[in-house]
Amino acid sequence: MRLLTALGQDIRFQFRHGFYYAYLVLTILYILSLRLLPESLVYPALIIILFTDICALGFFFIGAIVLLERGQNLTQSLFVTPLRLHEYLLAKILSFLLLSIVSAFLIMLGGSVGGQDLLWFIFGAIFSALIYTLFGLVFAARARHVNDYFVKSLGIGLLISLPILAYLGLFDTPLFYIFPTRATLILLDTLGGDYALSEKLYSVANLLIWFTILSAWVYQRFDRYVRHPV
Amino acid sequence: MIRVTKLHFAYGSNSKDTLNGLNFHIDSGEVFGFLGPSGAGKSTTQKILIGILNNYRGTVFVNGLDLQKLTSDFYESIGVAFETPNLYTKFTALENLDFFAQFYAGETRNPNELLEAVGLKDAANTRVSDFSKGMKVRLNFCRSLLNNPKLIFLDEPTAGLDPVNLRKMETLILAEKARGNTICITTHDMHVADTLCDRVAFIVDGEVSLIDSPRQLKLQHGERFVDVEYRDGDSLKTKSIPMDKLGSNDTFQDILKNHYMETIHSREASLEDVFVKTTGRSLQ
Repeated sequence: MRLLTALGQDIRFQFRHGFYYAYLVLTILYILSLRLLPESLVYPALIIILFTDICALGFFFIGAIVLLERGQNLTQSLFVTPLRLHEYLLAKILSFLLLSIVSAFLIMLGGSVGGQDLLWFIFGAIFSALIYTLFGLVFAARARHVNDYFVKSLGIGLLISLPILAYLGLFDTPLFYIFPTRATLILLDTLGGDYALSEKLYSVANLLIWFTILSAWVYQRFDRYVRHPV
Repeated sequence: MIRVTKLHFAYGSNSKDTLNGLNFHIDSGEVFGFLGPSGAGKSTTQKILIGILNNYRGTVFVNGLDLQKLTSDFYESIGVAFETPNLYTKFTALENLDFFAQFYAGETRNPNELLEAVGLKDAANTRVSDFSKGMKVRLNFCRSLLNNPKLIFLDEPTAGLDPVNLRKMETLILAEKARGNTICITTHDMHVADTLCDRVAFIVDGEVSLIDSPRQLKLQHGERFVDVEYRDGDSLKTKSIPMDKLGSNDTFQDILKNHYMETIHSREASLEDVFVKTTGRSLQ
C-alpha cells in the first residue's frame, strides 16, 4: 500500500514537473527522425535511439527528479513517516521504468520495426532501464545541485557508454564485456540481429549481476546520505 | 517518554563533538523546549530523537525504544515538523496532506479539519508554490499532526509567522498538550519557550547548562522587589519596594493612600536574562 502510494505520487510528481511532456517531445522527435532516414539506416538508428532513450535519459532524468525532491526538502519529511527506504527507491525506479518502457515501445512502433522473438528484447529493455536508473541514483544520492549531479555523472555516463563504439564497428575490446552497455546493446539488437544463445545468456547474466550490485549500492548510499544525512 | 544519557555526536569526520554528553528526560504529556542560539546543538539533538542522525554515542530511549534499534514503525506514532517546510510545491495543500496520510496504518486526522484549525481552509486547493512562508509553516504543522501522534517534534514552529498566526500556533500547540500529547520544541525565541514550555533546557555549544520550568527560573533569578510608578503632583516617580511584607511597607502604603499609581511590576527575571546569566551567551 505504501509502495503504491509512493509510486502514484512519483508519477504525478514527474507529470507536474513536465517530465512526461519532455519524454513525449523526445519520443516524437525520435520517431520523426526514424521516418526521415533512408530505409537501410532505420534499424541501426533505432537501436542507438532506444539505447539513448532507455539508458541515457533515465540516467540523467532520475538525478534531476531526486534533486528536485531534495530542493523541496521532501526526502526529510518522507523518512519521518513509516515509508521504508526500499519502498521509496522502488517507487522511483518503477515510475521511471514505466516512462522509459512506454516511450521505447512507442519509438519501436513509430519506427515500424518489430521482431520475431521479443522476449530477449523486452528483458534487455526492462533491465537496462532499471540499471541506468540505479546508476543515476548512485550519483544523485550525494549530489547537492543539478549541475553538481551532471558534472559527477557525465564522466561515468560516457565511460559506460563506450561499447557503442563496438556496436558501430569503430573499436572493440574484450573489456567491453564487463560493461552493462554491451549486454544492453546485444539484447536490444536481438530485434533484428542474429545472436548465439550463449551471447544472449551472457547478456542476461551481465545485467542481473549489475542490477544486484547497483541495487545494494543505491540502498547503502541513500541510507547513508539521504535517510541519515550527516 | 524520552530518556537521554551521555549523548555525544560529531558531524562527518569532525573530530570535535557537536553534542557533548547531554543528559535529560522528557515526561509524558510535557511540553519540553530546547532553548539556545543558532548552532548550539538544538536541531542536532532533535534529529537524533527522531532517528535521522543515528551514529551517536550514548543512549537514547523514546517510548521505551532504544533508538539504535529503530524501525520505520517508530514513525507511526510520532509527528515531526522541520524548521524548513517540506512540502510538494506543485501540489495543493489538501493533496499534500492526503498523500502523507496514506503512509500510516492507524487512523489519521481529517486534513480539512486540520487546515481549518490553522486558518488554511480557503487555501486547501491552492498549490503550495503560491503559499507565503507563514502558510507553509502552518501546513507543515498540519502534516506533523496527520497520524494523531502521541509525541510531536517541532523545530522552530513559529519562525516566519506574523503576530496573529503566532498566537494561533501557540494555541494549537497548547491544544495538543491538552490532548495529553508530549511535545518537544526547539526554539531560539524566548517568548515561545516562556509561553509554551513546561520545562526548558538551555543548550550552548552542545551542552545542557540548565533544565527547569520557565516560571521557576524567572523567580529564582529575579529579585524580590516590586517597581512602582506613581504620580506625585505633576511629576512621575518610581520606587522599588521589597516584596516581603509589602502590605505593611510604609512607602507602599503611602503610595496607595496618597498617590495615583500608574504601574506595578514584580522584578522576576526574563527567561532571556536567565539564559544570558547562566550561559554567558545571548540567544541570537
